[in-house]
Amino acid sequence: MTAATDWEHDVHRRLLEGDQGALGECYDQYSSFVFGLARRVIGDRRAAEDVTQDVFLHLWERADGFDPVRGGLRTWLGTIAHRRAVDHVRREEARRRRTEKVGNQASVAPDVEEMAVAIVTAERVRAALDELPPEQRAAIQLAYFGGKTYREVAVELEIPEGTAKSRMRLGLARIADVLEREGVGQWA
Amino acid sequence: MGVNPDTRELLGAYALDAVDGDEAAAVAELIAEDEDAERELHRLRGAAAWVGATEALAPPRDLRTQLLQRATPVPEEVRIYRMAMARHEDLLDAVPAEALDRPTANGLTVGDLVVHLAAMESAAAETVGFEQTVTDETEVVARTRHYLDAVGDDPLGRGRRAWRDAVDALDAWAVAGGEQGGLPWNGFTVSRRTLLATRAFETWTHDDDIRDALGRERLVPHPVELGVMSDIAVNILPFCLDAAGTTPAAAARLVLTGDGGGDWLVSLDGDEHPEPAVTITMDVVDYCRVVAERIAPDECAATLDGDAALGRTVLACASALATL
Repeated sequence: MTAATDWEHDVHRRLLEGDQGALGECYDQYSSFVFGLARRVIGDRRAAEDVTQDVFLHLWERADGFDPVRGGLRTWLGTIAHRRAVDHVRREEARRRRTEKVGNQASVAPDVEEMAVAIVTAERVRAALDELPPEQRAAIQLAYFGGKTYREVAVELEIPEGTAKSRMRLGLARIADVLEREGVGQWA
Repeated sequence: MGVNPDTRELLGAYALDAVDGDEAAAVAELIAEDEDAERELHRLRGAAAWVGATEALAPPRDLRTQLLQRATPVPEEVRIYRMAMARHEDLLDAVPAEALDRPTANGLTVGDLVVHLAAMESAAAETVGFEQTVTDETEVVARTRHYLDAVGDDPLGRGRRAWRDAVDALDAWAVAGGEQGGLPWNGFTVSRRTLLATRAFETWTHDDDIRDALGRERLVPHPVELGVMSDIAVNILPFCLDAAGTTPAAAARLVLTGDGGGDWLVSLDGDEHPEPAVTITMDVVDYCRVVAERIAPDECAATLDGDAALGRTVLACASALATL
């Protein structure tokens, strides 16, 4: 885990002081990430826009919940964005429709406004995902993009629940290993 | 409390939001107690976030404008109030049902304390027009008892909803530009800033009571919050002394150290005293906990320069207005 950058410490302080400009900077930096993630999980553009707004409003109102000492803003925003997107999916009971998309939907190219380093890193992560044992990749994608619990993943993949849990843990750890091994800065 | 060894195996699924509510609570308990597990979770979440980043996609241009229109700046006291209430909500998410009967520092159980906060929050909200149907009682203990009767054995359900309704009402009133002052609260007439900061202060105090009962680490609020809360906690000193039956004809200087601290010259009797009779120097968090009656003055390292006897009197009386 890499600590946050000076910029993240700075925007964190300014958010706590109620500086709207800091929110704009965070949005410019991470909106493509949040929106793309929400869109992929939910599958609906309008709902993904709502989630994106909610995530950044949460940052505005709960900046104290983000602790730059413990990690980067991407991880924090990603955790909130994903949870809200999954909540939306589960609430709408639209899981089945999206499941059909998982696995055959082409990846969306990263936004050109995203930082160059983010684009490069995302490419590395994509490669790391491709290099995962297929059973680990499937477990992660069904859970993360399909909004499924590990129990549902176990049923879908016809594996024991314990195996589903292990595949998620091992697969994510392997991606973290790759990022650390390649010295990807600010990956967390 | 024991942690199921299988819980650690859930970390990957938890990082992917792929566990159910009970399992999420078990993981929250694990990472609160086990630094290695917490570190692993951060690492896995970081990896998960980067998996999400492979799907980056530019949102529509007008979304930024819409966001900034909604993210209106709010006064400092509203911000710190929101922070404290949001942290309380996070804590409630992590309270296991089996912990509700555990005793806390003031003799109430964890569950009772959750309800007590609902009773107090609704009392604060009533001062700005919020209507609730549980009780008209204003005395703290009696009001809490009415709320306990109304909530029954469902503090995390009914109790929490009653608390949330009151928080939403206070927040909406404050954001809408509610009165700046003249608000009746606990026998005083207070400003909006004092009302909201007092609620944040009490919530922090009781949240730490709950954390103690759960075996979790106490939490130090952000310096922005501490700055506002310590200011209130210093400026109520004359009222504390008055409530304790003493009004020294002198001023005291308080130097509260650490982030969120500051330097105050406080008249103890309301008259002007250009020089302090005593200077009290101590940690800002310790001072707040003394005022909240959670630690005794002799339990913390305070330096008293000048009239040390007066300094001891001031600190001994600092918690005179603490309730429960």
